Amino acid sequence: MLTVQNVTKKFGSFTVLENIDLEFGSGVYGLLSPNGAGKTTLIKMLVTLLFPTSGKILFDGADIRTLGASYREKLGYLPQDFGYYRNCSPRQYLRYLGALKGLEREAVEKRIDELLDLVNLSDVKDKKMKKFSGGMIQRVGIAQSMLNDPEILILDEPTAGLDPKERLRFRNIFTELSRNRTVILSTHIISDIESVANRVILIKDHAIYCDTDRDSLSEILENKVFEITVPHQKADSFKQEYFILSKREEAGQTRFRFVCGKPEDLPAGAQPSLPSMEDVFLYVYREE
Amino acid sequence: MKIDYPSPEERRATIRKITREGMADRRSLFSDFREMYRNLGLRVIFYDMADVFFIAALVTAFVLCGLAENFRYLAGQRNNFYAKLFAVSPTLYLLLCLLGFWKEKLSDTYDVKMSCKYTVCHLTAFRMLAFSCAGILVNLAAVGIFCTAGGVPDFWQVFLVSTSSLFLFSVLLLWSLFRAGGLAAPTFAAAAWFPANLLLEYLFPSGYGRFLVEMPLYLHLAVTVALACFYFAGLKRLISQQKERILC
Repeated sequence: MLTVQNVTKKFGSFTVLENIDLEFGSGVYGLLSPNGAGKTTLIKMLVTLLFPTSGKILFDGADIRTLGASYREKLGYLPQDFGYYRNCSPRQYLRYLGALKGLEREAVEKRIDELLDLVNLSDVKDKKMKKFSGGMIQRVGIAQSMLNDPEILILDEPTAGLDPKERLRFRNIFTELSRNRTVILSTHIISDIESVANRVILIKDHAIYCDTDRDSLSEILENKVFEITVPHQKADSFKQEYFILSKREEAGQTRFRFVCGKPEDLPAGAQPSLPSMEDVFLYVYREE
Repeated sequence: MKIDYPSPEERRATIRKITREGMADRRSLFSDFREMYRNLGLRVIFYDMADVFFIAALVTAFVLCGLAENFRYLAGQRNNFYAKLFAVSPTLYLLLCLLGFWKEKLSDTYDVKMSCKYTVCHLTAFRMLAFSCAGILVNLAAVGIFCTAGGVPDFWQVFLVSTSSLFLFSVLLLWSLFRAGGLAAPTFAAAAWFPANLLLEYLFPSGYGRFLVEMPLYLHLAVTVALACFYFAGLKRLISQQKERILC
């Protein structure tokens, strides 16, 4: 069990995160927020790249800062900008990282083959990575994060640069992995979180805005999302009055998906709609 | 109801067991390094460092050639020779460390490596120790050749001047790392080493060299040992990784 206990992180006088309390058990946790909200800072504290200004992060009751290497042995991490040696092949690089992770040589070789197969890179495992596309590098990054079969897997933007088919493949992998471990996903891609996360954590104004299970998240906008079709000439004034989630052109008219909090303000002809996670995201961060 | 209460001996044994199992093993720096060497091997510890070795060796060879070229002149002026020797002794170590730091930073693999069991800090600490050994060996060879060829009688004193200089620079380099975290401070420390020595020589033209020449051998040895102890303590602190964004 990973516990974030009243953690505040400051850089000089600037507070990035304030009084963060979180608990991570088994399952997939989705960290969702716009850029600059402190997601990556939180992740870097979870992997001991940064330390809290105040508060503690505990793993099974012990401070991860004092656990040091014994905590990192249980950790798998994919950073947002995954660095690699351009002249290395995936096999060489994974072998190198396997050594740094303290894994035994014989076990690493077998694991490398399994993982490169899992991320669909078996046919290029001995090719130099300088010729790889962004998506292929990302797949090497995902493979290295799973090299030590970690109890805690922390992935910062894991599906960035992957095509839809690969994203689907990785979503399934993350779901399978989460059965007996903690998987923490930070991403902008809401559909990834929507399809794999058991719990969703939203960060807003340097604090936890909500930490809830996936299905409860839409309760934030329960009975508040509607759709309506308005003529073009009224579209601009409609946009001024309501918070618009999306719009599309439809037979010479504009179809809006919007939020209306008060029933008395609801325009005639509006039809209720079920809120999606994307609606909640857009609504919660409407001022940012 | 009667409840059995443990005897004082049972209590002491239980406390010993709990503290033994609960407290982290306090390992020495050298047992940490031994374990690293066994688990990683030199190929992993010095991975992708071939160009660093090449450049450092080339520049050191130039410096040694320069010193050899002017040896007869310098050997005639002991004060001047000691001052110059003190300034150039850490050259190989300085180049290996600084180029190594920057190479590591430019590889963009810092975040991944810092989440591994053996982090960039572990690798850097091991390399620094290896580089200081290499520096001492090269200095030993150079001093040996100079003393034999030039007939300088005080081999041990010359060797200790060179070794204390190397350890002094090593301590300064580590201190600058801990003070600022990034690479600007160690780079500045390295860049300032030679000008600072020249400045001392300029400000105290006879005093600086004479101080090094006249310092008794046992004092040279004491200073060298003290600096080495500071240095090893600094390396141990580096692998304990209690500072964020170090070497980044």
